[in-house]
Order: sequence, then structure tokens, then C-alpha cells
Amino acid sequence: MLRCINMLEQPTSGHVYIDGIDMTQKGTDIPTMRQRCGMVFQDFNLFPNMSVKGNLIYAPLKVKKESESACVERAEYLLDKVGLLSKIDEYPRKLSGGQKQRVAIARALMMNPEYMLFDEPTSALDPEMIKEVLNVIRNLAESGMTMAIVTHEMGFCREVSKHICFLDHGVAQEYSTTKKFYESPDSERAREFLSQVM
Amino acid sequence: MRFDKLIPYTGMFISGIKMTLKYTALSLVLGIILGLIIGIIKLSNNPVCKILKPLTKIFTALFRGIPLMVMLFMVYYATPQVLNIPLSAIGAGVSVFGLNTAAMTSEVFRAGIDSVPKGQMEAALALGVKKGRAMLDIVIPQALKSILPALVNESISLLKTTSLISVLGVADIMRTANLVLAQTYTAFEPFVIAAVLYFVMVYILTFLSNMLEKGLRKGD
Repeated sequence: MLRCINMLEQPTSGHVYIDGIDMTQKGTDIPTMRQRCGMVFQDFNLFPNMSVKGNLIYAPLKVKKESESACVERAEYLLDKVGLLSKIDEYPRKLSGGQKQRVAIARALMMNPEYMLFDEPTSALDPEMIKEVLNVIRNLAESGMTMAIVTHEMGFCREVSKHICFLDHGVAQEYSTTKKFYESPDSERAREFLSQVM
Repeated sequence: MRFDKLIPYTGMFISGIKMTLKYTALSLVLGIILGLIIGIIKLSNNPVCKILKPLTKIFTALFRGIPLMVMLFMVYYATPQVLNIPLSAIGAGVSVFGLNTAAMTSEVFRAGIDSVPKGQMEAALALGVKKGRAMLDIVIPQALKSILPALVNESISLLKTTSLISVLGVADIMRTANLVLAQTYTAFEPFVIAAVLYFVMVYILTFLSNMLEKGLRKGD
């Protein structure tokens, strides 16, 4: 579903609106809309042939044609925020999974997106590393960024989210506020799920 | 063995080398550009590319199935007769060798690009990069690592194949050796020289590609 939001996957039916703009409409400038909507993937997808710095500055440099010094400055600022400034000249293969994902988040933030999409950002990580990534996401949430997160981290989800859409086998079972979802879900499937995992 | 008899022909051999290099370089440039385009067409889901796909298959099949010598004669002698346009040896040679290289390398490019994980393209797209740009900046540099060895093999084979052009009277290394044979009545020495020249050129090419490959491995 997340992949449909920025049209990496073509929805077979229905519409996707971001800021009132229909993403599924033919004439929509998808690349520009994608710039406004940062995305973080389950398996990081850092560019292995570029250093951490290269990964971060590539898109703003090539797409937004910003000056290199401005890009590097922002890259340093964002890497500092995710706690990885010391890794700026490393190549991705030298990083742990959690570090890669934090770099990927910083990379998405380089484009100054208005929204962020997280596609199971911690599913490919060891339990120890999950925390460091969740902390970064939590900070981002607290800074007021609008985000959509697909996750199985139920505790984290309860803590940071305002709304929850509960999916079962690709079908949305329930859409409600976080409080309501955890306390008294409407759908039978959600009740069953919560009793299993919580 | 009288290699000293060949000293007066040094200049001829040098221009032979230049001629061989010229045919190789031009054919290689044409072949790689066209091969890359055809390779991408073979992979693409774009509707226009889908129409072109069967044509690319026929193209590859033709060059795989027809000996280059036959192709060369057809283009050089038959095209002017059919289409009424005179064709120079360089025009015929470069187009046949270039198209042949394109046919062979298109498969190499297709497989190489296909070997780069899909997530790489998606990550670039998600950053707002346009598809063509992402292909050029992100996917192809990574594909190059697996493409390069095969591409070098193809270039080496091309360099050696250009010796066919001697049958059209172009004074490349092979033709020069023949000419020297005719003038000195010695066969062994000029052909040994030709063999050594080809060998050394291929060796240098291999060396350069090894250096390039090391450069590309920076990230892993």
C-alpha cells in the first residue's frame, strides 16, 4: 500500500491523493511529488557504489541542482542527528543494518520532504539495532513530520502514532485513532490480533 | 629467419596498427552505444520498446547466425548494387563490426542491468530522480562491474575480427603483413610480426580493463 502512495507500484484501482493532488492521474508530475514524500525501505537500498556522503548528496545535487557545499553541510547536519557523522566517508557495506537504515532515513530527509513513508523500516534488523532506528523515527515524529509507517512493532506504533490502519491479508480491517484501536477496536480481527500479541 | 629484412617496412606496420585501432575504436563506440540501447529495450516495459523487442531478437539472431565475412561482402558489394549508394570500406567495415558488437553486447548489457537489485532503481525513484537519470547514475555503474569482463572479451574479439577488413583491401595489420609478404617473398616473419602486434594490443587492453575493474570495486 505504501508503495502505491508514491507510485512505485501502480494501483490497479482507486486513487491516491497527496495534498489534493491525484497521484494516479496521468499528467501528475510524479518525480516532483516523490521529492515531497521521502521513503525508507525495508532493506535500506543504499547505493553501494557511493560513500555515505555520496548517498546523501546525490539526489539534492542532481535533481534539485543545489550547490555541493550546501548539500554537504546538510548531510553533515542530518548525519549528526542520526548519530553517524563519523561514518560520512564510509561505504555502505561497512555499516551495520541499523546504521544503514539510519543513513537511509537521513538520505530521504536530504530532499526536505514534507511527508515520510516507512516501509517496514525495522523488519530486516536485529533486535538490538531496531532500537536505534526507532529512536531516530521517534525524534522525527516529535519534530512534527507527517509520517506513514508500516510496522509490526506494536509498542512503538502505539507510542508514536495518532491513527492506525489495521490490515489483514491486504484488506484494511480498521481505521481509527491509536487510542481507540488499542482500547476498543471495532473489528473482530483487530480484537483477535491484539489479544494474541499484546 | 631474417627479421632485419622487415626494417624498411616498419612505417607500413605502424600505419597498419593505426588502421586496425581505428576500425576497432569506431566499431566499439558504435557497438556499445547501440548495444546499450538494445539491451535496455530488451528489458523495458515501455509500450514502444515492447513493439521493438521482437526486432531486437531478430537482429541478434541474424548476427549470431551469419558469418561476418559474408555480412561484410554483402554490405560492401551488394548494398551499392541494390540501393545505388557507393559505400566506402570504412563505412561497410564499421557498420558490420559495430552492429555485430551491438548484437553481442546487447545481451551482456541486458543481463548486467538485470543483475542490479530492483530496490536500487526504486530508491532513486523515491528520491524524485527521473528514470533515465537513475538508470545512468545508479543502475548502470553498478551493472558495469558484472558487465565489464564480458565487454572486454567482446572488445578483444572485435579487435581480432577487424583483420577481416583486409579482404576489402584496407591496409590494416593483416593486410600489411600480406603486402610485405608479396614484396619480400618471406611469409614467416611478417605474419609473426602481425601475430605479435595483435597479441600485444590485446594484452594492453586486458591490462587496462583490470585497472578499470579495480576502480569500480571501490564500494565493496
